Amino acid sequence: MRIPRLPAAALLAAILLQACGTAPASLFRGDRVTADRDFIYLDDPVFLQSKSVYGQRAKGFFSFRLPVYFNAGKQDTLRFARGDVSVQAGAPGPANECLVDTAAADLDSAAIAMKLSDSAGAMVFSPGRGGKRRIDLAIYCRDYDPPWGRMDTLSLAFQRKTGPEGYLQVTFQLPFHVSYRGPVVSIMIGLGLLYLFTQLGWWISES
Amino acid sequence: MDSRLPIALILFVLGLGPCFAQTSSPLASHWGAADYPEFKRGFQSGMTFLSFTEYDSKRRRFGETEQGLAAQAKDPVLANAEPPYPETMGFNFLSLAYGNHVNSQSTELSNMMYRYTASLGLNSDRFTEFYQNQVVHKGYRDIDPVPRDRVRCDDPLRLGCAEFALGGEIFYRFTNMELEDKLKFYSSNFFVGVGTSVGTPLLEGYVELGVTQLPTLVTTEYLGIRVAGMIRVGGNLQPPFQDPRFGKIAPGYYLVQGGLESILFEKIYRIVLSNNFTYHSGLFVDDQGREIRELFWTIGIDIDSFYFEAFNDMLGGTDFGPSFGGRFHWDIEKPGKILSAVETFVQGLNRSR
Repeated sequence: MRIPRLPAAALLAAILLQACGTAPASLFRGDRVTADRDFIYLDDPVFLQSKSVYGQRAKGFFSFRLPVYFNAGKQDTLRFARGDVSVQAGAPGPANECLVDTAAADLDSAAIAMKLSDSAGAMVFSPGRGGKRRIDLAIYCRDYDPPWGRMDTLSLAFQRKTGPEGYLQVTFQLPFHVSYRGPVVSIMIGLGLLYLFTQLGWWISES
Repeated sequence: MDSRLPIALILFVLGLGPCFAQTSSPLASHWGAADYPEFKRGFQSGMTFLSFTEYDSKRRRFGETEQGLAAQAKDPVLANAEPPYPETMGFNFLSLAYGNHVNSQSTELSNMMYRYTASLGLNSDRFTEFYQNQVVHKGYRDIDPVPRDRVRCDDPLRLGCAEFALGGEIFYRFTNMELEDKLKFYSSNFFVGVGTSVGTPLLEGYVELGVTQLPTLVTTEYLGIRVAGMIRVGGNLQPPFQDPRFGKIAPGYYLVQGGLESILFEKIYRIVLSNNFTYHSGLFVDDQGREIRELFWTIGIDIDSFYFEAFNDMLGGTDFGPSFGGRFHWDIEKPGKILSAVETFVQGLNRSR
């Protein structure tokens, strides 16, 4: 049976790129950031929207996107104060400061490095009124190179206006870990496992 | 060279086994697919193929009973009657699903999720026959092929062979509370839901209650065991189109589903292997008007952004009617402009105070 390879390869590539959503290099080796659990806080102004996102490891920084919800209707004013990542309890070293930005566009390594070197670039924003508002945060952490499997904590501090005289700081703490992702490798492993399990099922049913 | 072959090849390669809880593929729950609600938010895209065969490999006809055959032997009028399901069919769907929390300021309602699925496909037995007879029966197991007499849509590229379905599901995840330094709420794995599907093969609605991804005492960094179970009760209607896909369907059904998940290397490279069993009270009816009960088993792989699942009626010892199927889905992690616009629109529809 002759297979037209070009359309078949194009379709497979389209699936992979759609699933991957990023540069072809990460088809084979990349990072996934997974939160410890879904959070819904009763009184905090922010909670996690997506449990699993993908990360980007580069020399000198680690970045990932994090879609979060702000309960904007409950607070008139909310502004971002600070973000950092602390390694698991007991591990040495200070927390890595992170630059947090809205994930409006992809940045290349040079642009991220420029942002990280700009100390005045700390993001400040206030959510608008009227229902929950989803914001895609892009988080760039300087000198952070997490190994796969370690549980770290991302802290996002916000300031909520309490009156004319001041702000109350609230901190959103998110335990997470980084794991391997690679769509091509995963498809191959998945198909291999399915073949093995299908054979096992037939063997069980026949015996 | 048939230009549809590459599509079939991809479906075959990727569909060897395809998924644990997944997008609401039309009809798939009646073929034994694991159909627990998907807690994941965002877009998923996928392929589903389902085989409905008139005969099994011993040329027994789906829906015929001993009583019916005996009556036909006695009565020449009945002998010329149309069998309950005279056609073999293959359903091939491409699906796009979106799920998220209801957009609400109420914390409790934040535990309510919705999922919409749009599916478009072709009714064609080419791939399903190839997979069943050439791959499974002949290639792997060396058993008799399943014969076909009447196949719906020998030429699938005509209007009557297009299939579509729109599905919607709303479910509520019960709440866990944690009292440490302050009160925190977490979404639990217990759920109750309601859903509907409108499409060319079937109109249905259902309610469901169950639990999915429930951790057990076996929970380590390298191996975790989780359990799932669900009961669903639904009602069916023939779609208001001429020439229905199935001549007779049961007005109602219930299904009970249960299974185990093994999670390997959760922190480093998460692979989830799942195995589910389904008892279905019957979507189809025999020549005596009784529902035909079915037993299915399914295997699924959840790895990275991909989900594979294969389901089969082998557990029930049959090989006809809704005999096998497979799904392959993937997460769309970075939706483009069009999907982002769809997302904004859908979130606007699901706003609540």
